[in-house]
Amino acid sequence: MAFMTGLRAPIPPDPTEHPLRVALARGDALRARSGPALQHLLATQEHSLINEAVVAQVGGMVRDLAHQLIEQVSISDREPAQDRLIEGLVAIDGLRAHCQALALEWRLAVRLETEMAVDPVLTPLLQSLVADTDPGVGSLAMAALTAQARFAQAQRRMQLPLAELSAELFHAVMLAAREVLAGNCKDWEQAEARLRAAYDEGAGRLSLFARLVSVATGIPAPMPPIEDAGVALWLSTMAGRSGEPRDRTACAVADPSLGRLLLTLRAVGVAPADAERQALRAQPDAVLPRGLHDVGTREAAQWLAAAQK
Amino acid sequence: MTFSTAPYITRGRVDSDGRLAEASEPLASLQASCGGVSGGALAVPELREIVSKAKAYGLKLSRPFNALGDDSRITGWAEATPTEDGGCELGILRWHAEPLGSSEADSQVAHVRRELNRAFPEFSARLDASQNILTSHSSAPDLVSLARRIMQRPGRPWTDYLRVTTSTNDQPLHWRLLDGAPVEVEGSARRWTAWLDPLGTIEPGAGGFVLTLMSDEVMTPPAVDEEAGSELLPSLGEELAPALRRPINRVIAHAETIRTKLAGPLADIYAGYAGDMVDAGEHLLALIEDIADLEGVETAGFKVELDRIDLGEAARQACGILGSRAQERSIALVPPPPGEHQWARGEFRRVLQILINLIGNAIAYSPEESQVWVRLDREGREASVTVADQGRGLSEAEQLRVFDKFERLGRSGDGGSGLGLYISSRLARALEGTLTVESAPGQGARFRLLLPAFD
Repeated sequence: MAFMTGLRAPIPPDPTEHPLRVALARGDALRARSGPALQHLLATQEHSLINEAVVAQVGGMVRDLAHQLIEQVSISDREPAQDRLIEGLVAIDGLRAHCQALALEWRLAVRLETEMAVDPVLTPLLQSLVADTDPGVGSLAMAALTAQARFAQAQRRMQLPLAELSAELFHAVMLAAREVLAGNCKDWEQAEARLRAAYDEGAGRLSLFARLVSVATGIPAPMPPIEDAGVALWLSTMAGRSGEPRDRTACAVADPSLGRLLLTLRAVGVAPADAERQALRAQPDAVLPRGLHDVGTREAAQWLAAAQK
Repeated sequence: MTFSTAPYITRGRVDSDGRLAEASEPLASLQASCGGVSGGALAVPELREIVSKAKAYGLKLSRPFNALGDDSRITGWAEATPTEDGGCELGILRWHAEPLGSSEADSQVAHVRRELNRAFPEFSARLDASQNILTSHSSAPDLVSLARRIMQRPGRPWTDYLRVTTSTNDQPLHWRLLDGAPVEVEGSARRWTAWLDPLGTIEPGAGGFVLTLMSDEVMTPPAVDEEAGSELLPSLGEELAPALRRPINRVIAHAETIRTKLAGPLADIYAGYAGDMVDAGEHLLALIEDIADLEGVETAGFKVELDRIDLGEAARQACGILGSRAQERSIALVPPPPGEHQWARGEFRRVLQILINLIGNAIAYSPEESQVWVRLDREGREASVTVADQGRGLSEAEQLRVFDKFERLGRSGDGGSGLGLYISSRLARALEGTLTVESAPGQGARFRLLLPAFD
């Protein structure tokens, strides 16, 4: 019915606002944007920030989030609501970036498993932290380990539980869902209240790892080798010690130009040669940019801070 | 999923107006060190942010936080659960306090202090790309001869005018190797550090450098040579202090803006740096005031206007001014009761200054939950006011030194300049009175200002 009323609506007097010209402009803009995206997808090598597998993984996670939200309400016409919900979720910048970071983290974990036999869940360092003499550290490491096992399972299924989102993203997802569902179903309000009440940021995997990094004295300084720590703990350690957001750090690890990764390692205090060795573990085929030996830790931190503006 | 309900180290409750309605230790003390009061607005900046987010989202948050206590840096992990009445429960899962001055975090504080000092260097020079000095500027008396040497033979590499102690090479080295190098300057007894900030966009240093020299040591004022010195140098009290106050106030104001994130969201660690800048700036300002005062009382022409004044009134005013600081440290400040007078000959303003110094010291160096008394007395032809505390007291050797210039009795890092009591005793003498101390270790200290009585 919607398009019928569209057909019968009066045509605006300004010729530039004619519906056909608007549609023409929108189509052209879409085509112009899709060009670089297609080029990027076709040209990039296997280990990079965007490729078909990453796109599929991100799409899967967003669909799964929409599915979890729809499950909470009784709605007669699910399909169109779910589609609009996906559209709303994809429009959240932070959520896209977060899903991309998770997908990249998981791909790296899988690659380390095949190439270096590093288990994506139970790594040597995590194992030693579980056995830490401080029972607080031990139980925290155990909780992180369990959460990592859940994460591995979810990533294999291209899923992302709502409870794993940070409070900011959870809140943004709730707002997007409210936009789509509040008008369509009566029980959304109760569902939202239920979801918010059940949410506990501290139980999420990323929160547990961040807390573990902040308390565990058993994590070597400045950085443990990635093959000991495993990708998850390694990323959280680097994020915690550099003060950089973890999502950005995760993307830096997958970025073949390696600049951000090398500088972050340097800013954390890793010696230049060691930083290069660690970076090559993450990107074996990458070409190292020159000049890291000239860069002090203070300088590295300054450059990172300046680049974020 | 139940892991985060682990036992909390400490708890607090924030009401719907953002006030910390309840808090157990050590949270309550941290609230006080951050300038808050019990039952007042939650004053710990990063906790306030976590609580307001939890309330805005209606979600249980779990996050790390940093805070600066009185003498320690606190890192911890907080959980905030919004409650139905619009408030928030605060639970602390981890609380780690490190004394300031001991750790890696402090090297960051030191770094910020250094950055602040670099904004107000005692010597700065503009260098060309080959590190030759183009122009220089110095505000330190002991660098005057360096400035003179540069003026006499300008345009040479900066390393010609002073000695880089880590290097035996006379030629300028690569600037990165010289950045932060210790240097010795002829004519100055202080140890200096040289900092090079490269200019130029493509290649650092292509546009030359800014060289700054700074020292961790405060300059010891020249011994007796007061008149010779005053000819050569601008007077800090009359000329420099007003000129310095304005830029430092601006640094403090801007840093405060950054610290409280008024201009927008900011990584917490940078807000922490800004907080350190505020502290360092305020310290610097207090130091300038002290030094300006010192210069005043040491000038031969320093005059006081003697008048009939009420020591009781001065004591009550001083207690009023310092009441909130005492409250922050849970110290009971007991002024002379209203109606009690003791008339003396002096200058009210100066007596008030002395009393604020004495009471301020008593508050700063007494244990929490203790008392500080201010009492009036009359002995023969002298009227007196005594400030007594329950601090650790002073040994006899310390009592002999306590009024000396720059005497800190082994304390450091608490923002004092070691000038307060020296200035107070000089003021007392100018008022034709005396300032004395009676104390024994463990017995507290009694500082007494004696002035001629006025009947």
